[in-house]
Amino acid sequence: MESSFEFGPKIIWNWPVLGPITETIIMSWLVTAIIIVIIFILTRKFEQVPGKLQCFAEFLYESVNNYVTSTLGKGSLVYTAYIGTLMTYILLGSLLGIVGLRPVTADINATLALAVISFVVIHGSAIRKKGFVGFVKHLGSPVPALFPINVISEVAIPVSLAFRLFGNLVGGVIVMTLVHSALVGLGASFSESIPIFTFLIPIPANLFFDVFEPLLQTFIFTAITLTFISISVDTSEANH
Amino acid sequence: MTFDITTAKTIILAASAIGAGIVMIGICGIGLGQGIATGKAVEGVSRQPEAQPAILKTLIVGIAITETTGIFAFIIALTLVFANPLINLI
Repeated sequence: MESSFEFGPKIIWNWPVLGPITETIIMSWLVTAIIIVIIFILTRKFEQVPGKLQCFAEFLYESVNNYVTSTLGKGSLVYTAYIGTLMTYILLGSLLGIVGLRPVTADINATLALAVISFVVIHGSAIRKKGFVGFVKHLGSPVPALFPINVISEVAIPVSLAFRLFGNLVGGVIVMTLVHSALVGLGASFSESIPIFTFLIPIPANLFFDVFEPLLQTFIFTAITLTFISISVDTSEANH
Repeated sequence: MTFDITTAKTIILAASAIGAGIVMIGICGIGLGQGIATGKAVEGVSRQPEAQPAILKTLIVGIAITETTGIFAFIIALTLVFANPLINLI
């Protein structure tokens, strides 16, 4: 199929040992480096009377902590750390589309990896809270015959988490590519090239797909993870 | 009746395009569902304006879960159009 549009991540280099290095991997290294630099600058020196940078760092921590506390019902350092990490990575990885790079989360491998980590956290906290026997008993409730169906519904959680993030972001990438190529073609159909087509008209679409969608999807991914965590650590019998 | 390979590929591509179009019909259910959910949320807010943040949060999570079906349909359509698995079978 000779399509002029290629939406998958490009393979930069075929590493013979560990397999292909794709655009996604390079971008995720970039995101990791950005996060490390930002966190290093923010947390370089802490003082009793906070300066501007420390105030900003404290504001970030406070907002994530409030969000986790209001969803889980009680504060927890572990979940705050996990949700904060997830938020930073997904947000920065998705916002790469603004500067014309390929978003990290527009790759099923990246989103599935994030979703599998969430899956492990959800069920790990359930096992830690209820013990292994309680966890298995919970899977076999209300009647033991429903065990396979419960297992399938648990396994569906990471799949739907991954596909939701991936589908939204890759849809944005495809629409933006189509809009850009359509506008470039439209500009080329006039005799002179008109810059307004390539930089002013796509801005509303850019705002929606590259700014609004990443913010919303970050919120949704973390909110659903937190909701499942709060369901899984809930030991009261009423919600089973 | 036998086809040469180009005809067979053409038929498969045409059928995949039609299939991708049919798959996206699944979207209309999501439109209905999200509309109903948002309508109920608006009713809830107008009845109880002080509960607006909680209702908004629940609404967004609910809409995201509703959207999953549409995302699955979209990914199937995407696979059929851009990464067709059937074209390699002949």
